[in-house]
Amino acid sequence: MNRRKIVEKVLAAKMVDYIPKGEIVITDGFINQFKAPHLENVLEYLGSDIVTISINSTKEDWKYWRNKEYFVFGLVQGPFTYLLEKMGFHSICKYIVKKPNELEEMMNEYLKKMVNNLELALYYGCDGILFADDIAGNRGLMVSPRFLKNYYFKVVSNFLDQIHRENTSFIFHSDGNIVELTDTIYKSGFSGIQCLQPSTNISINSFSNEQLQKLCFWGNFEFEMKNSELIETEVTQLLKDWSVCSRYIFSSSGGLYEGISKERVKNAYLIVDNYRKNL
Amino acid sequence: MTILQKELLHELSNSVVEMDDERTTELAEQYVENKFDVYEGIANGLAHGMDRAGKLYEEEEYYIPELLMCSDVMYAGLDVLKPHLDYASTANKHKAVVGVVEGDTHDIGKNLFKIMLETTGFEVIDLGRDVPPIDFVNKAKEVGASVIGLSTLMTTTMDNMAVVIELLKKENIRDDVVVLVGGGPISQSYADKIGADGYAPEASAAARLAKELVKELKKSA
Repeated sequence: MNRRKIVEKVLAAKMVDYIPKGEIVITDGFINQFKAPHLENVLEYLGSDIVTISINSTKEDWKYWRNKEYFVFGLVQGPFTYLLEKMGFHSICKYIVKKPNELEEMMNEYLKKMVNNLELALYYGCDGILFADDIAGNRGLMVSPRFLKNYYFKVVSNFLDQIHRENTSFIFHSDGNIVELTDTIYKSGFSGIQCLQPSTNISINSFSNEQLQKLCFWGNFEFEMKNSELIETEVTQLLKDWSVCSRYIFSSSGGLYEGISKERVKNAYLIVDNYRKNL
Repeated sequence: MTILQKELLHELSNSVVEMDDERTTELAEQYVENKFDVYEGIANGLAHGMDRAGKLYEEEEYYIPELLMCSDVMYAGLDVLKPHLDYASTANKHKAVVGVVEGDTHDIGKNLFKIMLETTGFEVIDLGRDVPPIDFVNKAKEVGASVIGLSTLMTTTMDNMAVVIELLKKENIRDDVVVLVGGGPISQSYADKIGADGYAPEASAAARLAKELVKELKKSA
């Protein structure tokens, strides 16, 4: 069984003795540690099961990665991050407070433009969608849950309805602590959550048994500022904690960046592999 | 204090909390027309409202967008009141130098801290983002700052906070200034580890802490 099939089964809770591994993003800063600095070499070295590429990738890219047998996630930038970059923080805050309906319309317009690329991606080889929008920080939500539920997730839910596929996983990513939105995320049409930033006190204990049954959980580890010994201890504990959830995928919460040692990530991935064998 | 002044202060505070800029401007004009103490109008009207907004933020009733709108409204009121300030009454303000440490450009937390410091009564010198450690030290020396506020959102740049503290020691001014650290990856244990004087998880609490620590600094001087 190839990596894609295994990830598919885990996402569907049909395989409980395997913990897949793969990142939301692997930056050039991390890749440049390698003598042959190419994403594919990095994925092979780490033993990743997943590759994540931009939803705006070419037909050739999708086909290429499809043939490599990785589970291919297409990364979609969410409307909040897009409009934040376009309008600036102050301006978007004004709209949130004073003109939420206009902001809703802007988010709608943005996502409408994404539909075509997404359809093409799914047609040519994209296996799942990773919808990334940083709506929270370390302290919690950046924006009121009221706005998020009444406007943001309404728009996102309509978007997911348009592109719904029976066997395609839609995973929501946000930095920070979004635990209080777990049910809203599920109701909006997502089948999982990526990131689960532990430095914001997110752990398996943040979720109810019902939520753990309904959703896939991906991440919940941070490599930053940790030596090999600490990584080994924490990854082992993390896997033990998440072993009650049949749909857990291991990765760093926010991706692999310059300054994170490739050897340490490799060791973490090996621990995940060995843990599986020990199950 | 007359009943009218009390009412206007109360209304100014409310209009900041309610993010009503037009109402705040009207009230501030009315306050000035009646020749009431402008400093009091800022402290017990506008800043009082901002303080309440900060508490609502701590209680998660308000989020960053609401807090920013409150600060906009407060500044709209300040634009009306400030020209009528008797500057002698604010001459003894403590100075605070704030900035985001080198390597980081995330400045939302720093901006909120700046607003909170200003409303708490500090004169704030904002060095902006991506600030080299030595610039904090030089500016603090130049203006005779009582507080240095260091902010970062990234683990990769937080060590620059320790560099600032080491430079202050080298310049023999470490004991003359309160150093506060804050931002996403910062914790009390990290603040203790690098020898900072204080840490708070969010801006309004940090500003209150700055005020308390400066009082202690004055006592021990």
